[in-house]
Order: sequence, then structure tokens, then C-alpha cells
Amino acid sequence: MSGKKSFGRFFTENAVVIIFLLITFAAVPSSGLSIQYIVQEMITRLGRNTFLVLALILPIFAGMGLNFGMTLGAMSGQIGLIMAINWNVGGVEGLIFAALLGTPVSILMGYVCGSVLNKAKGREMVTGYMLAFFINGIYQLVVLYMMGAIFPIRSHAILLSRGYGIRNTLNLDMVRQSLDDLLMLKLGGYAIPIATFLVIALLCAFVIWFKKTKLGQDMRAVGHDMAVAEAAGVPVDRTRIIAIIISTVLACYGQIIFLQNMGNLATYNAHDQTSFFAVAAILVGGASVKKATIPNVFVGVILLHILFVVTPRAGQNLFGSAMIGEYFRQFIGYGVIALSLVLYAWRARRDVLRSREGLRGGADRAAVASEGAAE
Amino acid sequence: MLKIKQFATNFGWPRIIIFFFLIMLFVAAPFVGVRIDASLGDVLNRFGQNGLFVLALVPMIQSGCGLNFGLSIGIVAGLIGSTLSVQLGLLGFAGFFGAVALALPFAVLFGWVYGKLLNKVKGEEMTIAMYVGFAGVMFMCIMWLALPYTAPTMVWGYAGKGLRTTISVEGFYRQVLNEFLSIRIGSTFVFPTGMLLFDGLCAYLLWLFMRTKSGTAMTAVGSNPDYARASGISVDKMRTTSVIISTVLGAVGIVVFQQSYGFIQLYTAPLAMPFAAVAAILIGGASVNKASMVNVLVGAFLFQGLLTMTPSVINSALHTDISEVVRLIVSNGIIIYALTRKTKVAK
Amino acid sequence: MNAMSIAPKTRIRRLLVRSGIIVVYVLLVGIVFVLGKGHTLIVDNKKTLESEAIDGIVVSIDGKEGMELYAGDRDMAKLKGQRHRVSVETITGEKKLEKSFVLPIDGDMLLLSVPKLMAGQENFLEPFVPRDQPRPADEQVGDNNVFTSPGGEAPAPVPAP
Repeated sequence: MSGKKSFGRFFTENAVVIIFLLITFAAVPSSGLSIQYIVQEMITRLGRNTFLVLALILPIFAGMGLNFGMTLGAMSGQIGLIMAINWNVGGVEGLIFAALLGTPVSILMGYVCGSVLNKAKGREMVTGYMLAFFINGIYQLVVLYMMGAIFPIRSHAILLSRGYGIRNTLNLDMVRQSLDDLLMLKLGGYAIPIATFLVIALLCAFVIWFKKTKLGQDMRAVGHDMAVAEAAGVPVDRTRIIAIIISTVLACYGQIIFLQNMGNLATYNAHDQTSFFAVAAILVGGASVKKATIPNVFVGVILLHILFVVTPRAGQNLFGSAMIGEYFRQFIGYGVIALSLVLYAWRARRDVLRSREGLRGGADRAAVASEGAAE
Repeated sequence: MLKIKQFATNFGWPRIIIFFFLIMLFVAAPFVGVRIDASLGDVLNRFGQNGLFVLALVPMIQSGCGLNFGLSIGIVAGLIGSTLSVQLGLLGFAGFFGAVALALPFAVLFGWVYGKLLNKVKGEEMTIAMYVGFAGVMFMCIMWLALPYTAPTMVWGYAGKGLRTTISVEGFYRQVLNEFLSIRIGSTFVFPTGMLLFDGLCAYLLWLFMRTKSGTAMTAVGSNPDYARASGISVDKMRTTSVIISTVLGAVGIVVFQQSYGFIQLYTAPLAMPFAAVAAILIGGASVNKASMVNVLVGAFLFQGLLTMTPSVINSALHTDISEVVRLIVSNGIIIYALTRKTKVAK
Repeated sequence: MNAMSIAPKTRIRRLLVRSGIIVVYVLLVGIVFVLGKGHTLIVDNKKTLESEAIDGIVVSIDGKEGMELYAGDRDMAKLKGQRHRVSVETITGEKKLEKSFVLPIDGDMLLLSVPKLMAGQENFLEPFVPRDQPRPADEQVGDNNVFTSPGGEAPAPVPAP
């Protein structure tokens, strides 16, 4: 291959990261924010968001694309937190309590999500996205109408004045920063939540270990080629469901970590943008619909959030309007997901056509199909 | 008996359930103090208002591009046209048709680019359509703030720069279609003849087009791309055409919507509209790769009927506003049901 | 894989493991609940039927910042968990009393009467029922549903977390 071709190849493989770096280098100076502020924000945001983004790895690994259904896990975590607030359980214990209560809910949610996605093979991402909206409706039905009325709520302070339904914003003071503060290291002017990062490290270790287990290998096989895996005796549908269940449970814990850092819970909105930010982050980090690694997660969170921190200010300074910066941020967010998806799909088709061309000289038609799936 | 069962499975149980649910709502209405004639008028109004959005989905479904979650692109083109029309001060029918005319070049351009993009990503159109739509709307949000509009009713008062979120079309082209040849029965029922006639005209034109050589080619591309290619039809060209038609219909649709609703809604308003249209056409019996005019008619009517009747009846009955949640569950449930059905044509 | 083809030994083992997990789960929930439950303690220096109020004392719970109480004063401490230590000193720093106590698990608000404590009485803790406080006004419910309402209203842009 000539040098020109491989440069072009490098560019398309990493286009999203490159574009992001360019925009970041342009925006940071014009934002007027100090490096120290940005670094501290990054430390905080890494602690806050990484767990959620890591939850996306296994479904990608199992060939199910971007798990927009992670919102279901987030909702389960929120229900756990509502219960913790309701029973006045605070501190790290409260977080564990919320996680424990959220676990069976998210397992159930994951099971439902996985089953629905199995019925929509080839359309997992759209279906996951719409399923999140659907379950959001059920969540609202339960939290806005049934809690306090059918489900007894001890703490009347969290109910709306009409007597049933949870309030719009819940103050999470009793668990605020519990995980972060557990082992907060103050170093050189920066505050680093060691405990949170330990938890994240644990999850990374878990993911690495899991991929080596039999179940993990099954998922890899299913992700590579469902037909081949089925022929090899792997229970394809069951493996896919398990991948989604794990992802949903991780999203549950991730949302709890996220919310303890935020300090308050927007009961009906907090989970809306969860999948969007997580998906954008992992895509910015260089992952694709078929392949995602742990470095993708960290790089993505940092890149995406630098932009999120810097653009509103840059927009304000450059255009004189904070709103433009805000819209620009959302535009970049959606745009990067669209761009990554387009690049991935385009590359996949190009590979299929390329291998088809290569084999046109005679041989085996059957080889084309499996060849095309390889990346 | 078997024939009825056959009909039911073909028609789809969810649709039957929704149909009877709607009938039930209409029956229950007078008992909870909701006037049927006002409701019917409301339903017809909303049907006409949103009908073109549902119609806009047909070309892309038929050509195999899936559900057009990126309808926002067409809506945005329509918004450009309508804001220009108000800026230029066009009134009445001139305002309405002016908006449409001004939107057309943008709609065609956007549709063409969007179509070319979708051609490069065959197989994953729907998710990409969604995000392209979102990104486009966000980009236009920046534009609404930055573009040099000057008409006093449109811009923010103090700064004088940047468009308002909602702009009234009162005095411009509000209700021009609705009131054209409208029939008034009693004090609360108005039949918006003009709007329904216009919708019907668009539907008829599309129906005619689908019967032409190009139209059948488009359907062939969707149902059997290999056969279409073998017959010498350019698959990409047909798909792009379908996207352009869809985008144009979306643009015209938002102008019709505005004249009925009375306001131009900018910024993030277009984000939610594609989902409503998708839910409607799926309720009407369409699938991800097959849609007909009947689907549009039935779907738009059932969906808007649900959206209108559920809040008014259930809220009056329970004395609480549970409508939003019911709407969420029903419309999204329908979309999921459609997405999980086995399709006869392989992707 | 149907139930018949699994050996009974594996079935029993699987059942044991699953029950074990459930037991551990319930235990964990119980433990964090007890350890993390918050209690509000009203520290009271009012005179009671059996004992006098002491003027000028500093009460500190679990070694936290001391609360200065004159006769008739009342202060509040938010606590987590059941076991705590209370220490009473005079304003001059003279140590008066140190005692451990256990709060009942379902006691959300409790009153600790310092006079009773100092007099050596056993029932220095009692439940406290507050008068109903006015609730803060509700914000608009279910507002700004970021396009979660297909066919609905215009959503507002959501700020980043």
C-alpha cells in the first residue's frame, strides 16, 4: 500500500478523535478557562462518568451495538436511591443500599431489554432507544403516580404536596459525595476521589477478567458472527441477554455513582441524557459499533468532557452568547455520534465491497459473507 | 371464524386494541363531561395538522431506507421558509404559499445531501437518521440566534437580535387553510375543509407518483434491491429521490402545521416530531419496509385520536393529569412492537 | 437444556448456591440499612420532672463539635447508625460524663435529655414527634421532558452534567 493510502486509512480510522482534538485545541484558549480548572473538572468528571461508559463495552463486544437501553439501568439505580432517601439511609451505606435494591430491578430490566432486542436483530440500536422511552413511561407511571399511593412512602418530605408521587428534584445531601469523600486525596491543588477511582479500576479488572471466561468467549463469538456461533453450539440468544443484563446492572451502579457526585436527583430527567453522554463518550474515544476497548472509554470521557466544559465559555466569548455555546455543545455531541456511526457503516460496506472485488477472480462465494464481517 | 382470525392477525392485534380503546374513549366522553363534537373537531384538526408528517414517511419506507427519524431535517427547511415568509411580511395565502415556495429549495438541497449520506450507510439508516436529525436541529438553533432576521414580531425585544422561540403567525397566515371552505356545525364543531383538502391533494399526488414508473421503481428498490439493480434501476438514485420527497413533504407539513396551530416553533421543537409521525404510521399498519396510503390515513387518525381523547377523558375521569405518561407508553410501545416484528424481506 | 437432563447433585448444588446468594443479599441489605440509617437527635437541656437543667454545658456526640447549652436550650445533631458516644463537659472544660448509647432502629427523631443523663437515669432517650412543618412549594411536575413526549411540546436544552 502506498503511503498516501495508509495515511487516508489512518485518518478514517481515527477521524472522530482527530476532529475532536482539533476542535478542543481551538476552543480551549478562547474559553478563557485556566488549565488548573480544566484539569480539576476532568478529574471530577472522570470519576463521575467512567463507570457508566464502561457499561457499554460488553454489549458492543457481543455484537449488539450501542446499548441505548442502559437508561433502564439508570432508572433502576434512581429507584434504589429514592428508596434510600425514603428510609433515611445515608453515607456510603446509603449508596450500597441503593445499589443492592437497584440490582434485582436492573436484572429484570436487562432481561426484558435483552429479550426485546433479540426479537429485533439487526435493529438493536433503534429498538433500544425506543425501549428506553417506553420504560421511561412506566417509570413515570410508578414514580409519579404509584409511589405514595400504592407503594407506601415513609418520608413525606419527598412526596409532592398532593400526597403521592415523588418530587421533581430530590436533595441527595445524605449520600452526597459519599463515595468521593471516602478517600479524597488533595494533591497539588487538586482533589482526587481515590475511592471512586478504585471502584472504576475494579470494574476494569472485572471486564478484562470476564472477557477471558467461557461466557466472555461465547460473547465474543456471538459478536463476531451469530450464525457461526450458533453452529458451534453457543446459546446465542441467552448469551446476548446476559450481555445486556450485565450492562444494565452496571448502568445502575454507574448512575448511582454519577448521582452521588451531582448531589441531587432530577427525578424525571436525570436518566434522559445518560445514554447519550455515555455513547458519545465511547464513540469519541475511538470505539465503533463493533469494537470497544477500555482505553476508548477513558480517552472518550476526557475528550468529550473537555469539549463540554470549554465550548459554552468559548461560544460566549466568541459570539457573545452563552446559548450559542450551549447549542454548539449539543450539536457537537449529536454530530459526533452521527459521524462515528456513518464512518463505521461506511467502512463496513467498503470492506464488504473490497473483499467482493478481491474474490471476483474466481473462487468461493461463501467466503465473501464471513470475510465481510471481519474488520 | 377462521377468516376473522386471519384478518385479525394480518391487521395486528395492537391496532385492534387501540381502535377499540379509542371507541371506548369516545363512548366514555359524555359521561365524564367531555363534549363529543368538540373532541371530534379537535381530532380532525390535529389529524390535518400532522397528516403530512405521516405521509412524508411513506417514500423512504417504500424505498427501503427505513423509518425517517431524520424528518427534522425537512421540518427545519420548512422553518427556514416560514421565517423568511414572515420576515418578508407576506400575508394570507401569499404568506402560506410563500413559505412553502421559500422552503422548497432548502428542502430539496437538504434532502439531497441527507439522501447521499444514507446511501453510504445502507443497513444502519435509522439510528444515523436520528442523530443527523438531532445534530441538524442543534445546528439550526445556533443559526436562529445568529442569522440577521429583523422583523419586530420575530426577534427578541431587548437585544433585537436572534429569533424568539415561538413566533405567532396571527395576521400572517394563521388558519388560512383551515378556514377556507370550512363548515361550521353548531358552536363548537368546525370542519377544517381547506386543510384537509390540501392534505388530500398532497396524498393524492404522492399516490399518483407511486404509480408512475419512478414510483414503482422506488418500491422495487425497497422490496427487492437485487432485482431492481438487475432491471437497470439505479438503487442509489431512487433512494435519494425518496429522501428528497420525504424531506419536501416534511417542509410543507410544518407550514401546514403552523397555519393550523398558529405559531412557528423554533429551536428544539422539531426534535420530538419525527417520533410522533413514526408512531402514527406504525399504528396505521405500516412496517419498517412497507407503507401504503391507508396506513397513513388510519394511523394518523388513530394516533391523533388517542392523543386528543386520552388526556381529556382520563383526566376528567381521574381528576389527574396522567395523559403524558399514557401517551409515552402507548406511542413508544407501538414503535417497539413494530420494530420487533419479523419482516418478510431480508435486509 | 431441560430440567430432566441435569444430575440431581448439580441441581441441589445450584439451589444451595442460589439460596446462599439470596441470604447474603438480604443480610447485606440489612447491614447497610442498620449502619447507614440516619437519626436526628435533639439534645435537650430542659428541666424535667425528675431532674434539673444544668447551666453552661458543652455536649459533644461522637467527638464532633460540641454544642453549647444553657438551661432550657435545645440543639440538634444528625447521626448515622445506631451506636454513639456522648460526652458532657462544663464550659470551663471540666469533664463531666461520657456514655455510650444505642438508638432504636426505627427512631427517626429522638430526644436526649441531658438532665436525665446527668442524673444517672436510664430513660434519657425518648422518641420525639415534631410538629408538622410547612412543605416547600412543588415545582411544576413532569416539566421539560427532553423529547420524551412524541407528539408533544418543545423540550428545553438540557445542561450537561
